[in-house]
Amino acid sequence: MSAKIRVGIVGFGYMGEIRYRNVTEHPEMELVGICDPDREAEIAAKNIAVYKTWKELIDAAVDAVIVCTPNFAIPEIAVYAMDHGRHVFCEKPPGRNYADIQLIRAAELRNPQVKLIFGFNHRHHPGITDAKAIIESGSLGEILTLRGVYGKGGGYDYHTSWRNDERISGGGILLDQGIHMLDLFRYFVGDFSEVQGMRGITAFDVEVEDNAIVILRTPQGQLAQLHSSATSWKHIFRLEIGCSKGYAIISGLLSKTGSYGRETLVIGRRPARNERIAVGNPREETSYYDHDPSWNIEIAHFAECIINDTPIEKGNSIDALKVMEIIDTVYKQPIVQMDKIQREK
Amino acid sequence: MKTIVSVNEISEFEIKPRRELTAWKEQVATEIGERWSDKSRWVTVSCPVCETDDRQHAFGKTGFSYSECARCKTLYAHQRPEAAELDWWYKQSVSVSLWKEKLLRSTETSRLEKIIEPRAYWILDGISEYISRQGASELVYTDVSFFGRALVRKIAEDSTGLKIISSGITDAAAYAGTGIESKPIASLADISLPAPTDILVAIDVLERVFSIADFFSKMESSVNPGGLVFATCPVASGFEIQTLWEQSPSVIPPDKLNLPTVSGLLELFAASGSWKVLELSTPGMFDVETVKQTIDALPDKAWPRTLLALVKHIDNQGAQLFTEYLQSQRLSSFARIVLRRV
Ligand SMILES: [Zn+2]
Repeated sequence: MSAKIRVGIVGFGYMGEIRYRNVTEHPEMELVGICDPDREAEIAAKNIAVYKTWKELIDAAVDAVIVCTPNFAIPEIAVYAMDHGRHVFCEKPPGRNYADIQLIRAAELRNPQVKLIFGFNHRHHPGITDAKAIIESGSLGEILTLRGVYGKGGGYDYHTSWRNDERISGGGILLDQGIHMLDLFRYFVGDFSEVQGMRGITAFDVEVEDNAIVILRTPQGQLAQLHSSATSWKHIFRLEIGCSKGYAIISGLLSKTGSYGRETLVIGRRPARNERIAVGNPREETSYYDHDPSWNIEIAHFAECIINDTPIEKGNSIDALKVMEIIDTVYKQPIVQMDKIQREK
Repeated sequence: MKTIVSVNEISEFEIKPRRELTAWKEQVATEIGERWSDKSRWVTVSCPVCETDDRQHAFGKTGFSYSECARCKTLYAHQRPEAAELDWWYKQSVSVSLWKEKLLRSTETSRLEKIIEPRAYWILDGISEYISRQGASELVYTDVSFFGRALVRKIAEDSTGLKIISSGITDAAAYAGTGIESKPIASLADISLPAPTDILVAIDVLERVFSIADFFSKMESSVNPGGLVFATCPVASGFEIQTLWEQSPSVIPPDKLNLPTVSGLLELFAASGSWKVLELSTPGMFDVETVKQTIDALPDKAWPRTLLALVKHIDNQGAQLFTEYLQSQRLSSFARIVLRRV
């Protein structure tokens, strides 16, 4: 491919704006236009071509489409784009449910020339990439356990967000946020053979879960546990990776507002047999990060795979399918509402 | 770039026992007096980091005069013995043999556990993080550290796929039956590598060379593109040196002739365009302890009340939290650096 990759963006919300910046910063990409009926004035104000419908944008001479819409719209747009030979970048979650991702996957299979990637950007956070490299070097031994907490505090208008309207989003906090942690679990240990989950509505007047607990086991016996919560009242991200010779803890997350705290990676080592260190208080080293390259890396990976016609390695449809399979298993469980509490109206 | 905070239960006296340390310091002072009373052949150097000559006198220490660079605030001995003399010191002086035979040996177990092992993890984890080993061809690993034998051995034990060359000036003896090649650099006057390298390790080197700027500019042609440098250095911008200044027990010539600042180093690497800073942190653990002990040892000195409140009147937990704070703000007096050759 000699010319630049011509890109269209559907949806100009929080993610759409991030992707707009990523595309304009990428030397091999060129922005054709953006479609978002609710934000046409803002798009025009940036001197970007406004497209009235997403079909018009895809039908325009674009090579690739970035889908940043609410979950319900993702499958139709992604499938249409692939069936028209466009490469597709979908933000997570990959649709509302397992059926949605299967539709998208089927379109990918019948259009083998297109690249399809999903926005699991957490894999590219510096704390995660460093932890992955250190663990792969073998210096911490084998991974034994994973424990993840990903939480936020739903606001007083939480029940009005489309993210909590089941018809639009397909699920609650687990699908919206917990999905990233599940993807990271898979990134570190691969597939799980056992999945159990519980979900509940504890504080909000919504139809979807505001808390979920998932426990998992790999065929090798590694254990994992996730708590995904909209009632943490504080933004929290913490992934503890327990290994045979030590541990890695990623906590905090570089973000636009910094609300998840400074991103850190703690590496601790199990003391050697004769080491004179107080039991339970091993040597630890903490890395602090101050730059989040994850969004740009994802777009760069997408561009590189298009240009070189190589398979998507991080965030491909198998990753999306597998993580949706886990969520689907949890969503087969009944959703239980807590009693006797005053919910936010 | 990242910053490191390192929590480790360690006291400086585990690795430098008080009695031996005092004896060694006395020997250093005596030997400097005997060997270098005549300074007529000493050389004058510019700031080892920014290379300007604009400096202010800071203090005198054991026959050496330290200045502070007016531009980058590096603390350095602007007059020092010529290279051949320093070579002699590092290889043949009684002080150094006392250091190697007494201090290093008597604390070997502690040092291995608390210094060498974490340092080996730092380097090996860094290689994993920053070099893609796909294709898995052997990487050339060159160590030019001072007194670096224990680390070289540890790296050889714990790593695979590295061709290890030991080139430290002080470490000329061969490593029998280890696969480690010994190709020592002959003189401080000409620090050049025997062959291009993918990984360069320079522990306790920057404080001894004539010019840090010159060292890194030489290494530009010796470290392969994409290759890494792991280095350590005392830094004058750290809490202990800034607080204690002429009383600092860490400024010991001729082992510590250059004490750059964190900002001076960052500027040097930014200006060169050949190095990307992957890490510049100050995981030094002894600042608070050293300041506290120096205050205790010199009770008659008029220490600022804030200092007494911050350092003297706090418990161990407070000292640890203070140490973590200093590390997180790159305000400790010992720095470590990871660079990539771009
Ligand atoms: Zn200077």
